[in-house]
Amino acid sequence: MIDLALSSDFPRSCRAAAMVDGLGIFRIRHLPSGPSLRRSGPEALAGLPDCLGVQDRGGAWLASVAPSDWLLLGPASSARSCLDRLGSGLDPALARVFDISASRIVLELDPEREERVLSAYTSLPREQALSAWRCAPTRFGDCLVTFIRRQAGSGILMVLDPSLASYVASLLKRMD
Amino acid sequence: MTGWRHSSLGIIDRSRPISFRWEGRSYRGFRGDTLASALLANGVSIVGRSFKHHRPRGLLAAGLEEPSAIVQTGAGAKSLPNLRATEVDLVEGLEAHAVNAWPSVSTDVFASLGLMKRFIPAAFYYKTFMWPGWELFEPWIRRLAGLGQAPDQPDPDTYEHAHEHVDTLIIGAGVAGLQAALASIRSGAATLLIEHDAVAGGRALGAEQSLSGTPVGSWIAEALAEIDAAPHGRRLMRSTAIGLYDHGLAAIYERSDPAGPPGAQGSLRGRLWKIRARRIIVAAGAIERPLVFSGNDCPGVMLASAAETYLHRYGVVSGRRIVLAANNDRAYRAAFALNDAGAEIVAVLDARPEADIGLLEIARERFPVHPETLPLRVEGRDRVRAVRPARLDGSGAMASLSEEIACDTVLVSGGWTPSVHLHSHLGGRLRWDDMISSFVPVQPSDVLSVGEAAGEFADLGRIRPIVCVETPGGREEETAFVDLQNDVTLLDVRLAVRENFRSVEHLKRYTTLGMATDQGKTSNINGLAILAAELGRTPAEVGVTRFRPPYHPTPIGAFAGHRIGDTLRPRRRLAADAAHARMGARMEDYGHWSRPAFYPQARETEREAVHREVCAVRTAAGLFDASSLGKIEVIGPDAGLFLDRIYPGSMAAMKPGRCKYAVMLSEHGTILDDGVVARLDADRFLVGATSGNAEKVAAHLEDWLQCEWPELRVMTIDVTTDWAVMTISGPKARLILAQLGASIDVSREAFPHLSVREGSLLGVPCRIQRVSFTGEVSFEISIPWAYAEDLHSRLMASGASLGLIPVGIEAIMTLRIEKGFIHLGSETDGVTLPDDLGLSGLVSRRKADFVGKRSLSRPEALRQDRRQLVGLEALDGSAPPIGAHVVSDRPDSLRGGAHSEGWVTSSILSPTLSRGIALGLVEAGRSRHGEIVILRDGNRVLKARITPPGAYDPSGERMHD
Amino acid sequence: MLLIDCPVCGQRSEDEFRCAGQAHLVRPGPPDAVTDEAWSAYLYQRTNLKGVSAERWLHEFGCRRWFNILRDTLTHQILHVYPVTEARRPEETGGGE
Repeated sequence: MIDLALSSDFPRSCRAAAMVDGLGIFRIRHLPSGPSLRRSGPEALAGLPDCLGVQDRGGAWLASVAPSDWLLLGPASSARSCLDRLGSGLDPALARVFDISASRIVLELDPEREERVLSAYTSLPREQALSAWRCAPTRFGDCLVTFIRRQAGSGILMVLDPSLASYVASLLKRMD
Repeated sequence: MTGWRHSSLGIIDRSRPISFRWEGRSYRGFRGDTLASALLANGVSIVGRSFKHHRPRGLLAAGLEEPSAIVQTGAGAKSLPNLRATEVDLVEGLEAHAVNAWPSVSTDVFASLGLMKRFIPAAFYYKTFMWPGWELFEPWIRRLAGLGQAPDQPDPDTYEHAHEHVDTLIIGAGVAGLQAALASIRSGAATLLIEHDAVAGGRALGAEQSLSGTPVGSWIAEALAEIDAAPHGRRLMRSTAIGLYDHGLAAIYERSDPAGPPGAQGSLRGRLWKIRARRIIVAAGAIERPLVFSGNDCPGVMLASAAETYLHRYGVVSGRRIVLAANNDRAYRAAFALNDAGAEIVAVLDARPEADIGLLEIARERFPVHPETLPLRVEGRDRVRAVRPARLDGSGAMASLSEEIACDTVLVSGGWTPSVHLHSHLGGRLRWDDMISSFVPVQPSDVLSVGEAAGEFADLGRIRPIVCVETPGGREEETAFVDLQNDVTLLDVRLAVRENFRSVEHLKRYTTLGMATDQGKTSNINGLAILAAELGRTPAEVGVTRFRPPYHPTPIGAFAGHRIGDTLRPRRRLAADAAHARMGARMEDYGHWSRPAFYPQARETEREAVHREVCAVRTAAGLFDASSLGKIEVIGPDAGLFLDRIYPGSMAAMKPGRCKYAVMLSEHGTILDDGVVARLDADRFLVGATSGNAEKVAAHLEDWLQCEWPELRVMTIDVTTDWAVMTISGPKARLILAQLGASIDVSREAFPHLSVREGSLLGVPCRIQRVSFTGEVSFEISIPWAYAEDLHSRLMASGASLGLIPVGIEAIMTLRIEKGFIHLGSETDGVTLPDDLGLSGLVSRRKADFVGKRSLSRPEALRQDRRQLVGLEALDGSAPPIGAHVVSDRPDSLRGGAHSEGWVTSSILSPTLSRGIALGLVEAGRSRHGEIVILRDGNRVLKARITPPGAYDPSGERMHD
Repeated sequence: MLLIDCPVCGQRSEDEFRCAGQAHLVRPGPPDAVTDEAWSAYLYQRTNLKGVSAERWLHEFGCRRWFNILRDTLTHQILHVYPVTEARRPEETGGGE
């Protein structure tokens, strides 16, 4: 369990969000990192989500956030086992896994309040971009965050850079 | 005689009386009133003073087009200047006063300016008050002009933004807008209907009309119910479309309900909506325009439809003895309605001949109607006293004068102007419609205009456009107002034409017609019609001025939204931010990052703290949080090849475990960034960037990779905030680090300068680089972000007994200046090349190409007199001011005066060497070591010696230890 | 405020993107074969059209991928979105103009 020093900055009383504890977060990158659009990767990547899709992988969630760029997150053990299963299929010469569990903040937005928060701070076409099993790296206020929607009705996950935690918290507090 | 409240008409809530204060006196009104309607009901005539001449003014209109009743409400931080009284909802305890009047609106001292009228016509400031200097007069003129007072305290209210995507946006909830909304909802489209007012219905409100057989009030209620019930329908009231932009974007400002439940939205004053709509329908209606005649600005002169609105909606009758002056049929409705309510219609002056007056017979049954007659002038100063009518001849000029008609109110109607602003924002074109004497939208266009906004009028009848009635050789033009808010008269328009400002855009700017806060809503068409008449052309040929957002004044706070205070910019915090605070750091913003500048102890000044920190680093050790520095991993079989193309230096030949200082160039050859590049293994590099440029460098790498060299087998990953970095620097650094128990051998032999090692520390992965920015032995320890505080406290615990203290940026800057190390943005600017800084050693001679290579051999780059990095030692031992110029005797060829050969780029009073140490960029500096030069900073003159940069330990012995 | 169809993320508002100007710039080389004039043209000369312009855009607050668009500088209509390494497409002024 990570002791996020920034947690004191967090609006724990903020009704818009709650921190998700004990998460494992991994970034998976694959060569080549060229500009090819909607290009399917080699065999090992078949079955992975693409184009901002999200998949449920045995309790962890695998999101395609950009071409050849995935985020895997979930309860630490689920994420780890998913990673092990994936890793066996990935060529280490082509793919790299980065454990960023200690360097991301993940919030879960309260479904009751997400509309107002997203409307205030993003210009996303929410219905398309954040429908079930979709993710969206986008602008939140003035910084980059990644939203991940799992099943319909579930709270959106918001993945952000830890240095921006207090800025995002201030924005959320304004909506309280 | 003045306005008065009818006993039963209007849709205000008479069961909820409200007390308010106007100009220091108490009055009563009702819920549903605006400040304007309440003042009118209370018999108040003068609601404002005009901008330039301070003439008394009354209400002209009932809506957002009101030009004269500009008021200020509230006090202190909550004061709101420059509101229209017609838009101020009456709430209990409201306090309001007119702007631009002193001591009060009824006894304004500055009315005396009216006597100076002849000296301050339009554009007087281009011709008068020139000698001895405009600057002498300008402050006074500005003080006398202007409207309200800006509050001088921070705004306690907040504003939000909101984004929404819809299928159809309908602007305006009058009858046409409601009809469009119903059609849209019934078709299943996601529909948003917005309305500027707090209630829907527009001018149909309270009026006794029918629509499709239903009384209009019921029709409106049913339409609203259907819209509200539809799950895909939505309605925003008190919401004004202020601008339309590309690709279906509409900006809408929603005002909070001032009488709404408090606390529900805190102190939210307004919300700026940014709506993307597939289809936009403009049902914004039309605005009535006044007639132009002498004295048409006198309190008591009001638009006919405004009088109707005051009656039907607020139950206020505008006067007791009313004259109507009009050139169309619709205006007669006002006369009938007010007559029914109990006012006397003393006369109707209609510009048109009998045959053109549609309601002549019905009207004549109730009151006198004078065809082919318009006012020559209105008599009265603080209130209308009488009208002097003039009979017109066939061409609309004065034929004869009639007897004065005593009255207290003149209702005017010069026609109707469709609101084409939003249509025009998107480049929609206009055409002149002679039937209504107005511009209407050319359709189809990007938006659909419906109803009166499209120029569709059912009941105007025939219109006779008349510019203004005047006596031959008379002076009516001096007091015949075209633009009320900016005090622009008929005389001013003619003056502009005489002075050759003949285009409608020039007329606007020369006279300021249409430039006030109402943006000419009741004056633009009259102004251009007059211009056309003066030029002998048609209004269609003259055209309109360009329409620009915002359509209506909008608080700047609404545009700022959350971008104020703490959330003005995305401030980034270090992982050990809390630890720095605990240690008493003075945090400053460096670019986007909040970082410790220094750590003052007890009652130290900044100078003392920095001095202490510098000495600690030179004699023991200092702990510096370097987490914000950019880190980008470059991974793949082609990683070395890629970096060889990006950097001027040789990267592919680096050995794993080594790192080197490098500069990154733009294609112009200029220095984009500097930092340390480490090779972790055969296909993994770690690119270091400055804190301010981390994102820029990461983007630069991806730009070249995606766009120029997509075939390369390499990926870049920005890991700047994946790793926190603690730098420990000083003679004791190694000892302290060794005590920490990392899995890395940090001994002198195993870990030479400019090496990188990976291992683990505190049970988590870590990387250590031995690089130095301070000139002492330094280790940069990277650990996953969340463990920063852990590492920080372990280091402090481990090193405190050896003299380790935390050090901030100011100390680091001092240390690096003592060493002569450059800092991006101090020693570099947009034209600095590597050789200028003596960094040619970092540029490979063997590589065939790299980013910026060709630029390094441009003639400009090869000049012998380029400014070069040097040290500067003031002869008196002081620290020369940063920015002081090195001046020579040679005069400047372009401007005369002394020629600048360069300047001081960095400067400190060195605690280590006890004297001033400075760096600078000086022409051909490297060949001038030892030369004494003059430094000039304003009036201060200093002599300094040019030296090599790097006063402290030039051979680098200490950091290589 | 344009609406731009990012090839990866779909339709997004312009404030998520950064425009890097003229597309299809060809980098002259090798360095010793490039005249000062040719290099200067590459660094500084840009077209400034009234009409259809090919531009290079980055989805900065998003997937961070580069792509090209064809945009009419008068109407702001976006005619094409295509890969950044692809040559400029011939313009088909699509329906609606």
